[in-house]
Formats: sequence, structure tokens, C-alpha cells
Amino acid sequence: MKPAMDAPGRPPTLNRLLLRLITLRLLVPLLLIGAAVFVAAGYLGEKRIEAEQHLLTYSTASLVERYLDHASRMLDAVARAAQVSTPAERALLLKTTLAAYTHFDTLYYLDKRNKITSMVPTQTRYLGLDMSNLPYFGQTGLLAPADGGVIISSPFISIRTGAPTVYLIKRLPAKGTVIGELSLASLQREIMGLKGRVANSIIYILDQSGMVLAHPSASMVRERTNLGNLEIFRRALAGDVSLVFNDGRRWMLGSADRIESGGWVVVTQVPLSAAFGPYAWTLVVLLLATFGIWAALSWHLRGQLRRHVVKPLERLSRLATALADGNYAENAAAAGAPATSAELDRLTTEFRSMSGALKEREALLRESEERYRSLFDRVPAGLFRSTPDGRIVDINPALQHIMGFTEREALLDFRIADIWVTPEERVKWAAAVEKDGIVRDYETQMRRRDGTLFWARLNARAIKGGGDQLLFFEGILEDISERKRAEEERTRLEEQLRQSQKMESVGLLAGGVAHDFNNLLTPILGYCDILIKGLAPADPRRIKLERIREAADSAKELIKRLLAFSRKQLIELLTVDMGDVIRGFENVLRRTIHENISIEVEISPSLGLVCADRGQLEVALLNLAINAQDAMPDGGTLTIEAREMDLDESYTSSHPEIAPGTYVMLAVSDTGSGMDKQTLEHIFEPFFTTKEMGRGTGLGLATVYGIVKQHGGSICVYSEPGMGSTFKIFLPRAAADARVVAERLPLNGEVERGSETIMVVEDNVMVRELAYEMLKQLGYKVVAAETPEQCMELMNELEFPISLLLTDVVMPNMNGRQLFERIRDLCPHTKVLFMSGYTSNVIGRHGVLDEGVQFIQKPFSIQVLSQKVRQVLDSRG
Amino acid sequence: MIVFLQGLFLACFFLGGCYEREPVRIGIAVQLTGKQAELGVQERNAVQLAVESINGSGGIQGRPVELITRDDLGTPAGAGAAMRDLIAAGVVAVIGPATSSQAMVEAPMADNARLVMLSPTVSSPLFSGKDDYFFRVFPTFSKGAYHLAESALVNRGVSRIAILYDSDNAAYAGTYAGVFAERFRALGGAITGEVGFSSRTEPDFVQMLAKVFAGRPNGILVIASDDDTALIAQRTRMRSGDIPIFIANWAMTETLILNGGKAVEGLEGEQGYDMNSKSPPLADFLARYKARFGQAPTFGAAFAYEAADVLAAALRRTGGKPAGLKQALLGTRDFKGLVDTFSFDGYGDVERPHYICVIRDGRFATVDVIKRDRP
Repeated sequence: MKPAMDAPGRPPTLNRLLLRLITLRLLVPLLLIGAAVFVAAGYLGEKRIEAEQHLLTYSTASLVERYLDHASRMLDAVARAAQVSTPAERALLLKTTLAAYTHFDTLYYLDKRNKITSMVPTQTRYLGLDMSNLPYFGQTGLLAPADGGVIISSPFISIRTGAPTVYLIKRLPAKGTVIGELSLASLQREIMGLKGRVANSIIYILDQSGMVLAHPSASMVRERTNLGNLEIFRRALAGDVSLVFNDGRRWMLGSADRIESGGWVVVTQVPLSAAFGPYAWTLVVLLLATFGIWAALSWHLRGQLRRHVVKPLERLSRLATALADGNYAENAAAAGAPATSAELDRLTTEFRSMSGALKEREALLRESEERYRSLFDRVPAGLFRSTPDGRIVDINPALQHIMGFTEREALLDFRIADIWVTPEERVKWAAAVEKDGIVRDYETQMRRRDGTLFWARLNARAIKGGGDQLLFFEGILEDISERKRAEEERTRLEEQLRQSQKMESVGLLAGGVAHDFNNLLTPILGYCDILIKGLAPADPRRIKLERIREAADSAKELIKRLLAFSRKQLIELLTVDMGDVIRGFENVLRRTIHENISIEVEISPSLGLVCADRGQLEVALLNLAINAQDAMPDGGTLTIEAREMDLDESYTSSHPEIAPGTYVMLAVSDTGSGMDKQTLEHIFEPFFTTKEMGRGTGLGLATVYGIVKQHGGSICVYSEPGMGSTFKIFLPRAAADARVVAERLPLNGEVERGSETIMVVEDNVMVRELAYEMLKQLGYKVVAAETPEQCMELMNELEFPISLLLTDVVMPNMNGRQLFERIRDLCPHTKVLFMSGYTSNVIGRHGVLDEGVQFIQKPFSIQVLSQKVRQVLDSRG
Repeated sequence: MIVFLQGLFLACFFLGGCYEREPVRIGIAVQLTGKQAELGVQERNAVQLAVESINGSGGIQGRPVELITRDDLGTPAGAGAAMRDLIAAGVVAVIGPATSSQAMVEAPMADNARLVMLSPTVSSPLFSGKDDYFFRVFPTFSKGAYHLAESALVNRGVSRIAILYDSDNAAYAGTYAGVFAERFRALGGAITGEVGFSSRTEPDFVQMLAKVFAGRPNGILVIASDDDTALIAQRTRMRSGDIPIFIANWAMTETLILNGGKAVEGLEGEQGYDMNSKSPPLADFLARYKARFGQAPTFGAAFAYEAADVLAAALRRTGGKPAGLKQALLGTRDFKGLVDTFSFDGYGDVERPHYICVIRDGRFATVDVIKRDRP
């Protein structure tokens, strides 16, 4: 059943529809019929009143006519008699006539000059008066009837009686005039008796000018009221008439007739309200009855409609609402409700089957929905759906967790723009998604609810509706902060590794160069020494040779530092007291460092021992001090501090080259200009210098770095521009029971000689020949071999034992150590002195000389060689 | 909807007649019945004509004018009853009365009720110079009687004059006689006798005239109503065919001519109005009056018409309300009457010219206009 859609918007209810139908199809026709009946009845009633009034006016007019006619005949008779009478007879005639016919108030007899000669009743004050100016009396203005009959004057109010009066005038040719003053008071009595059958109906008589002659209201007559303005009067002057008119106060239905003899008008009138009052009341009753019937019918029909149609429909409507709410139980319960009509029964049945089908379909839908909802809720990635203007529509618990919201709704109120760190970026991203349809692996920083930032990866696509209109963005948001951190860490570590590899390769290069350089420098220095030795002190060539030697010394020093930095320097670790080292070196520092810099030394009393090469430590200390001095060109304070420190994992995690443990710290601080971050990053690189060209080699701090690393320690620097710098060196503390080892005696400048047999093994011919030459000069017996193999051959040929093996460390096929071990097998007393340009694992690990191994650094002078050889030969074992 | 239909229907049926606006009620109190009713009836008719004309052109600010008529019967008792009636009816103003003696009763009542009373024809100087609610459009006869005395003595050569007056309207007649006599004597004339009579008693004028003629006058002044003046004129002519008769303006109506016959030919009087003027408003008025009432109007009707007109103009200024009406009338300046313009002085009296009229061939003929004031 489809409701009547007869108006835009909401259709009316059935009740209203029924009311409208009853009103339009029943009430309105009833009213129209009622109105038509009323009009018809009113019309007929009006016609009846009109006819009645017409009859009344006509009979009244006739009455007046007869009255005037009667009086006129009477006067005419008197006049005829008077004409032939003597004055005395005339007076008597008038007197008897007046007595017989009482309607005359006065009878006059006028002479030829219109003077009153006699009158009845007699009033002496009027006798003899001239009446010629009165209309109809004098000769002028006289409207004598053609038949010479009686003239009727205009009515006037008699001064004596106060009643309307007319003069009846009968002219007597050549004699005089008989005048009768006819009272119209009797007309008043007549009309008072002639009332119409209609209530409030009145009759009145007006003269030709509209003055009231007779009226139920007598005062109107006396006061000479003029009703000449009434429409009915004006119309009646032209003939009898019936019409509705206004008397100045009310509407009247009137009828009027003209009285021919006097030109007067008789009017019958009744107020419209009185005339039609009964009809109006009938109409009211009729209409009320109509309304009553209509109301009763409406009431009854509405009740029936409600019981048989509306209620069942409302029940179905409620069921539909319940259905919409998913309440199927109510539908099942309602299935048994009885139907009141076949149509409703069919509707109920169809409704029931629809409800069943819906229930089944919804169950399937819900199951499907739950499956997907479960997926949505449990997937570990953050899922979202947002509107183009940045409102979040839906998110899953994973995303809620990522964003740091405890309640999902709170995030739904959140604006996307607040999540993005820069809203502009979000706009660009949204534009890209809208343009390409999908944007993958977009990484950006976002803000959690608590304001903390995190890295997010977005995979999103645009959902568009009809007309390519963008509806939503939906996609996956992952928190990749952890991965980002790991990546950053890896990058940092890679950078560190690359840095150390760079240092390593620089070291390798330096080591390689140093090796060859030392081989080259060895003959230069050696032969220089030999030549200088051979020249007299005053020999002018001596100066030149010394110049060569100085240059070679500088070269040697440079190589030494390169080796130190690249950790290819062979160092000898002894257990030393750092405090002793500093204190022992303090004087040297005070002499070296500029006077405007004060040096403060703070050494912790409970300082542990370290395993270190004292000389190398001094080199490091010196280099740091010089670096500090360069940072303080205008003076300042240099602080050297040494104390013990426990380094835990928090420190070692960022310095992976050292392990947690107890360390001795050597800190060198200045109050200088400090360094920026960029400088700090490169501070330990070789040849990196902030000094102007020519002032530094750029190897100072690189050397320090190499020394520290070679000692298994760590170095770090703290500095800020303008705040000075602090370099901290951490060296592993030696075991608690370690003792300070006495150092070998330093070499003195003497050349010591000998006569033992010395085997020189050196693949470099120049070095070999030099060593041979030097040792020869020192008095030793020398055998030289180019290779270990040749050495072994020579050994077999020699008849006398070899006291000392002076051998290169690194050689093809066999290294110096292996060679020594072969020789030891042959000659157990043979001692060995290794010579090398740089470190090698053959005689030590990582540049640290194995204990008991004797070694001479290339290049060497004849003094060093003589003393070292002597030292080894003289040593026990 | 049901209620609306029912309500609309019932409202239409029962209340249909009530939508008209409340009318402005104006009263008129003049003598309408009795022997001397002619002047009052003419004035009532003229006011009725004026009211019909006002209503025909939209009323006063849209409100119709309702005329409430009361007959003051020409007696003091009737005057009191008529005024009480009108005051009770809630009229905003009263037009009337026609005569000075009635005004002696009605004017104080109006003043007491603070009700504007505007008389068309009261001319006695007794009402002049009073700050009250009494107004009139008729000039006081103190000037007219003064000039009539001059005219009688100078123009007509009457040196001895007898005066007859109606003592029933003493406020008018007695005063008129006094003003006339004073001036007449001042000019050297002689008053041979002053005879008062009560018109209500219908006296025998023959005997009265015998007494008058005993003083051998060469002129007679009659101060009486039209009806009485006509009788006196007829009786006088019977005794003396040519003695000049002077009459007061009170008598100058159509009734005088109708009842006077040939005896009224040559009667001379002063009038505040030129009924022979060719002024278009007057001609229009005369024509309309004739058409409406079937007879020609006399001066009373013209003055009454002007009274209704000037009252309506003032009421338009007060919005039809009585409040401020007195001030509105007092503020009237140069109001266009039917013939002349006039203004009220501070006491509600008017200044306008006087006309000397003579009856010729049964009509009032204007022979002189006196514009100059009384010295």
C-alpha cells in the first residue's frame, strides 16, 4: 500500500488523508448545498416580503387618494353652495360643514383680493389678512387644475395643531376662494394600524419634497423631518419601486408607491436583519447540523480506519523499525497477529518472508564483516582511513597503539594535520596520492599524541567515488623508528669503520713507504757518518756532508712519526708509572711550551701502572702540549691530569675498540679557542691542520692517535668553540701486582768496537754493504749474505762460529726469525740483532716487540749500530 | 481547520455589521415645533444637508458624522432637556440654538460641560466678549441695529418711531430695541413708544397697534418672529398704507413673505447675509437645499450650513475629538463661508458685513452693504 504522495515533502497520514477526503468530498458539498438552499429560501422569502409590502403600500396609497378625494369632493360641494350664498349663509355653511366633516381643521372664505372674509372656527386676529403670497392662493403661481377642480397645496405643519396639514383650495370664478385646512393626522392613525405581517415593518408617508407626513414616530412629523435623501423616495417619484436601501443607520428592504393626486410617496420598509433573521438562523442551524454530521462521521470513520488499517500498518511499521535495528525476535513474535483484510494479510505474509530473508542475509553479512573486522583489528600494521580534508574516519587498534591513544574515539577526533610534523608535507603527500592513486613506502616523521616524534612509513591509496571524486585515503602506517635507529647506527658504524680502514690504509702506505725509505736512508746516513769520520774536522767537505746528514736525519724523523701514527713503529711495552712519565717530562715541557702559558699538573696519588712505551708516551704528551699551545696564542693554562677511571659499557658501547675495565686517564686541557664539530671529525687525520701552511706537519695529533691505539687505549676529545679543548687518553691499567721494570740503559754517543764474527743478512744491497762496511770499521769479522739461503750456505762453509746474526726481518722465502732459529740449531751460542724499517709480526705483535728480542731501527748510525751490537754481544744467554 | 471554518462562518454572520468606524456625533438643538419653528427647521435642514455632504466626501478622517437632533421647543424647559439629552448622547459639539433667549439657557450648560456650542443665528450682544464654549457664526446685531437706526433716520427720514417687540425672546428683542433706540435717539430721533408682547399668548395686534399709533409715529420697528411680524405688518398696512416698517433680522424668513401678503412689500431690515449674492458657493447651496427640501432656504439655513462647515473643519483638526476643539475653532481665520470669509475673535464671535434688505415683489432685495464698523 503506497501512501498518497499528493504534496512535496512528507505525505500526509492516513488519518489526515481521510479527514481531507471527508472534508472535501462530504463537508464542502454539504455546505454548498446548504448555502444554495439558503439563497433560494432567502430569495423566495424576499419575494414574499416584497409582494406583501407592495400590497401594503398600494392599499395605503389608495387610502390616501380616497381620503384626499373625499375631502376635495366635500370642499367642492361647499364651494358650489357658497357661490350662491349670502355672507351670512356662507358662514353658516362653513360652520355646518366643519361640524359634519371633522377632517377639516379650518374653512376659509377669501374675497377676490385674497383677504380672509370669514373663517370657521372664527379667529379675529386673522380676519381681513392678505393671503395672496401663499402658494396656490394668489393669482400668481397658481396651479389650477384644468377641470377647475380642487387644488391641493403642499403639506405643512399646522402651527395650531402641530399636525401635517394641506390646504384644499376651490376657486370660485369672480367671487373668491373657499379653502379647507385638511388635517392629515388621520393618516398617522391609519398607518399606525397598518402594520405588515413582518416584524419591525413600518409604513410612512412623505410629501413631494420628502417631508414626513405620517410616520410611526410622531415627532418626526412634528419636527418636519425630511427624508428626501432616501434612495427609495427618489426612485418612487418615478413610479412604484421595491429595493434594498440604507436609511442612514441600517439596511432596509422597502417598497414605495406614489400617490398620484398629491405627488406624495408611501413607503413600507423592514430592516434586512429582521426580514432575513429567521433565514439566517435556519442557515446557522443547518450548518451546525452539517458540521455535526460531518464531525460524527469523521470521528466514526477515523475510529474504524484506526482499528482496521492504521493500527495494523503501525504494527508493521514498528516491525520494520525493529527489523532495521536488527531485532528479528519481535518479528517472529508478531507473525501470529491476525490480519483485518486480505491486503493486509498478504502484506503481513510478504513482510514475514522478507524478514526471514533479511535475517539470513544479515547473518552472512555479519559473519563476513566480523572476519574482516577481525583481520582489521588484529593485523600488526596500522590501518587507517581518512578524508581528503584530514579527518580520520577509521583506524585499527595497531595504529591506535602506534599513535599512543588509549581510546580509538580520541584519535577519530584528531586531525591528520596534527599528526604530520609539517602540514605542508601532508598536503604534498595527499596531492601525490590523489594524482597517482597510490603512494608506496613514503617515509616521514610523525607526532604521537604525547608530542614525541616517530618515523612512519606510509602506503596509501586514494579511494574515489563516481565522477572521479576523491572520497578517502586508506592505507597502512608503520612505525619504523626502530629500523631507522638501527640504520642510523649502522651508518655511524660504517662511517667509523671506513674511518679506521682509511687510517689503516694510510698506515699501510706509510709503513710501506717507511720501509723503503729507511732502506734508502740507511746507506745515506751510514755513508755520511763514515765519510765524516774519515774527514779532518777542518775539512771543508765535512760541512757539506753534515748538511746531507741533517737532511737525512729529518727524513728519518718524519718516517718515524709516520710509523708512529700508522702504528708500524716498533715499541717496547714496559710497566710504567704514568705519574713518573709526566713528572719526568714536565721539565722538557716547560722548556718547550711558551712562557705565557702556565702549566698545571694534577696527578692522582693512587694512580695505577700502565704497560707503555715511555718514549712514545712522551711523544704523545709533547704533541698534545704543542697542540694546546697552538690553541692558545695569547696564553692560557695548560692542564695535565692523570687519574684512574672505570669505564663501563655506556662509554665502551660508543668506543668499540676498548673493553670495559679500569683505565688510567691522561687528560690534557687548554683554555684556548676550542674547535667546532667539523674540525673535531677530522682532528686525528694525518696532514689535517688548522694552522697556516708551513707551520705544522698535520701529523701531531695523528701521531698521538697512533700511539694511543698501538697501546690498546682510547682517545677522545671534548671541545666547543671558545670553550677550550680537553683530550683524554685512556690506557688499560696494568695488573695490580705489576712492578715498574727498569729500563735498559740508554745508548750513549760512544762508538764501541769489537772483533767477533758477525753475519749480516740483508737483501737490500746498499744496507748490506753499509752494515758490512760499518762493522768492518768497528773491527768485527763480517760475513754478508744477500738471502737466508746464501747465509745458510755460508754458515756451512765457515770454520769459525758466528757470534752475532745481524739480519733483516722481512725477506723473501724466509724471515729473519726463521733464519735465526736455523742458525741457532747449528750454533747455539749465536746471538741475533734484528734490523728493520718498520714493525713486523716476525718479532712482535702489532708493533710491540716480543720480550727479549733485540732490534735496531733502520736507518741507523754507526754509533747506534756499534752500541747495539755491543749490547747484544755482551748480553747473557 | 474545523474551528477556523466555524469561527470564520460565525464571525461573518454575527459580527458583519460591527466593522464600521465609530461615528463623530454632532448634536443640534433648535426649535423644531411650535409657532416659531421655521427658523429652527431651516437650520436643522441645512445642517443635515451639510452632514450629508461631509459624509458623502469621506466624513471626518474617515469617520462618518452622525447628527443627533433635539427639539428645544422654544422654551427654557425644552432647551434644558435638549441639552441634557445631547450631553448624555456624547456629542462632540452642539449646533444651536436659533434664538438668543434659548441661548441664555443652553450656553451656560454647554460651558459647564466644556462642550462647544456653535449657534447659527443667535445675534444678541449679551453673548459677546465672553471666554466660554459658546460660538456663533452670526454677527451680533449691536452693529446691525445701530446701522438700521441710522438708515431709518437718515435714509428714510423717520424721526419718530414706535418699537414693538416679542418679550418672549427678550434676550434678543429687548436688547435689539435698546441698541436701536439708543442710536436713534442719539441721532436726534424720538421713540414714540416701546411695546412688548408675549407671542405665546397670541395677542390682538389691532388693539396693540391702536396704542402705538396714538403716539403718532412716522415709522415702526417690529422685533418679532416671522409669523408675528407678518401679522403685525398686515394689521399696520390696514391702518396706514405707507408708514415705513422696519424689521429685525429674526423675522426675515420665507414665512414672513408667505404670510405677509402684499403688506410686507417695502419692509426694511438689516441682515448679516446677502441672500442675493451671486457667490458660487451660495448658488450651489441654494440649489442643493431647494432640491433636497423642496423650498428655498433663508438666512438661517445659510448660517447653519456655515456653522456645520466650520465645525467640521475644526473637528478635522482635532481628529473628530472634542479635546482641543475650542482652540481649533478660535484659531479659525478667514474661513470661506458661502458669501463672505469670516474669523472668530478671542470670544468666539464673528465679524462680517451687514446688509440692508428690503422686500420687493415678494423677495428680499439687498439695497446696501455696511462694511464699516460701529464707532
